[in-house]
Amino acid sequence: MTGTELLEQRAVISGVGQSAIGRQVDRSGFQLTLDAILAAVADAGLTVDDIDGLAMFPGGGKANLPGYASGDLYEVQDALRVTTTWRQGQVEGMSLPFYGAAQAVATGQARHAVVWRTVKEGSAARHAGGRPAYGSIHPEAEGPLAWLLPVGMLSPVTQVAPFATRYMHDYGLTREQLAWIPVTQRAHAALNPDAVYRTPLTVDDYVAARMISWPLCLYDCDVPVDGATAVVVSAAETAADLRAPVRIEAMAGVIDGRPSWDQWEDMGRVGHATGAALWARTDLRPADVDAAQLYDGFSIEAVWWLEAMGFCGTGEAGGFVEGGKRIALDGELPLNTWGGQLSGGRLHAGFGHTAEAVRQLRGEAGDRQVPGAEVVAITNVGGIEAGAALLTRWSR
Amino acid sequence: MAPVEVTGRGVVYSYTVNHQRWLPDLEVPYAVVLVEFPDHPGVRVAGRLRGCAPDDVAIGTEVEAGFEPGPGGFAIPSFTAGRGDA
Repeated sequence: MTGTELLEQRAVISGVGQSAIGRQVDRSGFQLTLDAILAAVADAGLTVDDIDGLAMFPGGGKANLPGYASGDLYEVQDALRVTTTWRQGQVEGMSLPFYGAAQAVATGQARHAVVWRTVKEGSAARHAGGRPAYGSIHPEAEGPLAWLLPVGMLSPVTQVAPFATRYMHDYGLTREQLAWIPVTQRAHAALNPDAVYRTPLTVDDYVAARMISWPLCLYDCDVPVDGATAVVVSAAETAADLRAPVRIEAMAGVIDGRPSWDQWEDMGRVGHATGAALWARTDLRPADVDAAQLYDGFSIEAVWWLEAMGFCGTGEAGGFVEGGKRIALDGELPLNTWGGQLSGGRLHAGFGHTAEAVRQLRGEAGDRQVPGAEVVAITNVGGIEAGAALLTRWSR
Repeated sequence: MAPVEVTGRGVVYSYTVNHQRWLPDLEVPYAVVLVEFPDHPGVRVAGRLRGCAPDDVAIGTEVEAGFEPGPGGFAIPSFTAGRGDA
């Protein structure tokens, strides 16, 4: 694609900001949202008056998991008193936090758009007695969930688990191999003061942990938290006004299966078409990636993304992660350097992953900094939605 | 588009055994299977597996389709194990 200016290269990520993140944070979703937005705008080197685009995830408010959706767009705009020339009710359509905003600033519909995601799932889980399930807000099963909830597939983990079972059957992945993803990410979280769980985790701890939905145990599941992340996306032409922009080298999102948790033919390949589309938009190759922030709502999704992105071959991820050396901070592909959602907290939808990618590319990742990181991969979701991007240092 | 009647035995494409008590009165553990039907390519149905211990489920197990009473008086899919090859 050399010589062709991609749409996403007319956009930059200019700011990231986060609220306090914890299992329970004693602030409302609205307060958390404003904390994150104001931090992100300042991080970009901008003021609130510069913002002319707003979007949030999720947009429809249809989510049926307690604490899943917070940070109302109308309420936020009213609080900020900004004039918008572009708004989007949702960012789930393309499965990357900045996908729609990048399109907006690249085409002149806005100059600086802020996109946020706020969760109160930690508090909600506590209020639900530790058992947040689909249907506990609205006791109706609608749409695709109507086929799943009545038979006892009451949580995302129960829905993804059969595909983990199938992947293990087909490729021989063992639980002892899979353990190295949460174990290694926990070691990264120990270096991240904002991570939720920072105490050491071992493979023995993993094997002894209680089963949630076979073959996925407690440590295969991300951690419900309270917290907000905001991302500012700016037109590349404004770079001189920005403190530390990061380039979007390429982004893609392809759905080539039935968008349903039970009908997708082979969930282990959910990101493969997205990975292929991404690499077709850049001259960079997987070996050029200095760190990977791969979606890890469940550990098995990171397995699938390693393969979908071509960091290893199909069926090879178990061997790739075993022992943890390749995916450690000093390994060939440092994985989820902030701890990921498994230890850093379920900030969801790629927002935590995006914030970390930006910090790594600026050299602002503190004790967990990957020295000289110039190219960072982000992937998102990995079940009925898929998105991937390469972010690069501005100086490149 | 119209509904299609599916008959014949199914085969377990994959499964999970759920151990987490998501609802206060939920009995655990239980096996949930994704069942495909060799005579009807493209059809996959999720359901509980009955008639065997949850951990006896395996990929490739042949199952018979049936129904049991579900919430709101609706019938929900349920499967019983036949013979398996795995």
